[in-house]
Amino acid sequence: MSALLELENVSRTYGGGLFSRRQVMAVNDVSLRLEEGRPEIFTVVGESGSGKTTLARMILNMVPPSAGTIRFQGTDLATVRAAAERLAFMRKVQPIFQNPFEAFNPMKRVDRYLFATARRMADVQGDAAITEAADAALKSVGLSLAEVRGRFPHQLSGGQLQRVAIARALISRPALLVADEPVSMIDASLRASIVNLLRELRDRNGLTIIYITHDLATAYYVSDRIIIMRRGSVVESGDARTVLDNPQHPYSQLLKSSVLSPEVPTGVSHA
Amino acid sequence: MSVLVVDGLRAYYRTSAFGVPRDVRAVDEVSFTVEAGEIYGLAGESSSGKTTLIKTIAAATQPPLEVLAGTVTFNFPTGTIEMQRAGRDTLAAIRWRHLSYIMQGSMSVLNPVRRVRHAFVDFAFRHIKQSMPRFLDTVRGHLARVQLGPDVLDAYPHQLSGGMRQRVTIALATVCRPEFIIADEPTTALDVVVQKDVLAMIREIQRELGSSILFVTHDMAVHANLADRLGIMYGGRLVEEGRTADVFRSPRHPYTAHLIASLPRLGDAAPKAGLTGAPPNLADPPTGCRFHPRCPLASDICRREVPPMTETLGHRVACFHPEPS
Amino acid sequence: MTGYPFYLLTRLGQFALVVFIGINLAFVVTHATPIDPVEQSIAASTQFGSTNPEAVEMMRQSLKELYGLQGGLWDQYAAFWRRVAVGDFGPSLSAFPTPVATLIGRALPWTVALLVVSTLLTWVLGNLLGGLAGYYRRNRALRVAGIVAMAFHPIPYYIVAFLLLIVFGYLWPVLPISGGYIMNMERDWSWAFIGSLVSHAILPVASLALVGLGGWFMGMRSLVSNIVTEDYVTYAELAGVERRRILGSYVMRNALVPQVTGLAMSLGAIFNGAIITEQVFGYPGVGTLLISAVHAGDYSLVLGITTVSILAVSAAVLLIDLAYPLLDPRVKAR
Ligand SMILES: Nc1ncnc2c1ncn2[C@@H]1O[C@H](COP(=O)(O)OP(=O)(O)OP(=O)(O)O)[C@@H](O)[C@H]1O
Ligand code: SF4
Ligand SMILES: [Mg+2]
Repeated sequence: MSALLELENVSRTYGGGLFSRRQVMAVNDVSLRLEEGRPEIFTVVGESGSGKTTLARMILNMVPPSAGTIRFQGTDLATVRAAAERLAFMRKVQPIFQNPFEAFNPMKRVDRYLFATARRMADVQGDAAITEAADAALKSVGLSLAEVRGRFPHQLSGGQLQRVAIARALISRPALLVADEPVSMIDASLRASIVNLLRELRDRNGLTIIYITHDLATAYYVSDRIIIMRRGSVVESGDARTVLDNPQHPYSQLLKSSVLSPEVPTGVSHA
Repeated sequence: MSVLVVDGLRAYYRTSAFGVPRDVRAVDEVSFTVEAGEIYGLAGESSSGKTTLIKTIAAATQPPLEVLAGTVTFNFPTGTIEMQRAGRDTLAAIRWRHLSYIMQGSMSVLNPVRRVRHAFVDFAFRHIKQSMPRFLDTVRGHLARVQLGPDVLDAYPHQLSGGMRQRVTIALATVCRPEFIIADEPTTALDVVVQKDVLAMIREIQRELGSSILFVTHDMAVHANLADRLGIMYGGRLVEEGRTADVFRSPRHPYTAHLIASLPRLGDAAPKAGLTGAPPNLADPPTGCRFHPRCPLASDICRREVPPMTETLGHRVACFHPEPS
Repeated sequence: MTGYPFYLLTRLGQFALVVFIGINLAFVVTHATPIDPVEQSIAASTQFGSTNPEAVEMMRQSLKELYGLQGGLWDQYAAFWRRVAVGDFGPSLSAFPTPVATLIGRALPWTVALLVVSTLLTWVLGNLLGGLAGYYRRNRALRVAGIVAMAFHPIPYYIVAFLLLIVFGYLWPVLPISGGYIMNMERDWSWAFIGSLVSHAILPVASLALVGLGGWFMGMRSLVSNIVTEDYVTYAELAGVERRRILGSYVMRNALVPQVTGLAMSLGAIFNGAIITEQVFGYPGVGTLLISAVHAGDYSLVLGITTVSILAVSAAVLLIDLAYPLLDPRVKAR
């Protein structure tokens, strides 16, 4: 099988340089491989500052690694430089961000975003075709164009807006979604539906999703494979359920034991 | 006697857009009590009115937020205070001595340009009748309880980690040994490992001081582990309340039931359905029960009338078709 | 390296760089002008009758030495820096043979005093009133102050200055409108002399203050009305901290940080403003000197004044910069 995405000994340092004092190893020697034709939800968990977002930004070709190589469908991302190549890459690899309200311009109607994306990213021409592409993308996230037409971001709930963000990402028919904490800013009552959507996209659309989170409980719910990061390094990796049911590394064990269970503990004196 | 009695509280944000008055009904007809030595958890999703309720209870309302009806009464050993009627001096006298806060967004609640020491002096010195050196010794001793060294007093906020800062605000809120502490999302911005420590610390200090805490967070897992009793807010209203164990084991309001059923749990990958629809717009809330557009059990009466609060064995619910208790 | 020493070093480096570039520019500009100071001096001293050619040649040599114009461009450049280092800019052309350094030394105290007094007054008053106005939003007097400040702010400086001249010079002539002190007065630091200094300074200082106040006032007021919604202010209010203490230690203290940066950034413009002020009020400072030097084509005087003002403004900026970390502890870590 050929690799969809392959990271080989990837590291990223920040700082250094003439005037700065300290170097930070944001990502330290990370290797991973996602297979083509085997859709999965690959989860990266870790606390804040563990390097999750830096890793995501490197995979999205937004920052170059300081060392190591990242290949997407066999192409080294370091060689993807020209505007046309970058556009082709962006069509295949789409991001989803933490706060949907920040991802949209508050003064711009959300349907316009979808139309612009269809025109630019998916090369769809003609009003009818564009409308259709937007509607199809919205349908696959459980919305429809009729529901969002003419609405501004603040007129939608966080959950709806995050769905629109995901729909926008789907328009160019990507092979890989990189979702950085996609539910942490979303209300509990809506969170489950977004997480379910990720599962659906994997099973129905055959998408591979890199799901970045600090929340072990949702990670358990959706992931196929998982890596646990701490201070830039991967401390444990493997099949998600296996790792989370029975973590081996002391840090993974600490992380798991810190998760508060939504069960009322018995024996605690509740008045 | 209850330490806090909130009765029929209604607080709206009253603004006008282009001359058209617009009320955001952030808190509507909320009544509950908090007993001595109890941790009362208040849950609800974003914009359900939790912070607004707390601001009103603390008499920290500023335009456009207005209290339209209801009372907030604290029963402290030194006397009974009705917050909405109390004057500035009365409030200043109870603030921090009897009633303190741990605020949402603890990263920004400390003055960034002054050392931590000054916060303790400004907030607590006037209540603790000691000379300055003795006072600072008291503070240092108290900091040790939240596992902070005396040197944090000379630090600036930005020099402390998120967890340390949150512990500083906990120490700050408890140094006067107040009877009542209001905590708004105190652990939301913290990493899981730190969050667990901080919660344990809050629990420990609360036991030691015997204070009551009104603990607000949207995180149900935190409530499960901390609260003695739990109130659920939806769309500016209190929709359910009971002992935490009862609410979790047998939720009666359809919203609560759904919320608890959809919580992700480690070790459980069984499919869970999410709620459909969007939270209510409080500037133009649905008629009758504010949950009716999303409720699978909604009937005609739900659309017409506001369900009253009913109580069975200390478990209260505002719903026309509640789950049996 | 971390903390203040590192900060100090980078700021000193920046200062040196700015001064170096500025002075080089001054050198380039003055050497690119078609005016040849040596020939001009010779012309000036020989225009009444012919002098013998040898004497002229000797004069030319000694003048070149005086102006540092011997040898090629590189020699001149090296000589220029040597002169800057010891503060010797040669003799003035228009007031030959008085050295430029002496002329500047005479004028500089006037300008420095005028600027320090008016800038500090404007900044302190503007920020204080603006801070109060932002915090006590409902206070009538402060609202009126705000309206007045806003009304004065957009008026161009020279109009305000001439208005003052007309009002206090002609309509209600209670203040002297020109000069730094009563002409021909003994400069003996007697009370009478000091009184005359102060009365002559009132109009120039007032004109600068009237125009400058509004900016600081409005800047501070909007800063403060943002800061009062910050969590740390709300928290202190909930803790029952006294209002005056909240205003001072929480609100104003935080608002000062950007205002001090603003002051450092506006120093250059303030210096430029002084040139107009001195012209309008006939104040015997560096600005007046510079204008007359330009008119007279006094090459070395212009070069001297430019160099000194670059040094002075950058040094003032440096001083403010160095004090900045004391105000905002966060910059040490950055
Ligand atoms: N200053 C304001 N002016 C107008 N409306 C406001 C203002 N502040 C809050 N609101 C509205 O009041 C409602 C309740 O907000 P509140 O902050 O109390 O919710 P919350 O439950 O604390 O939410 P979160 O979990 O996000 O902190 C929301 O609809 C909000 O948009
Ligand atoms: S009152 Fe009706 S709509 Fe409201 S929660 Fe109960 S059943 Fe649902
Ligand atoms: Mg809140």
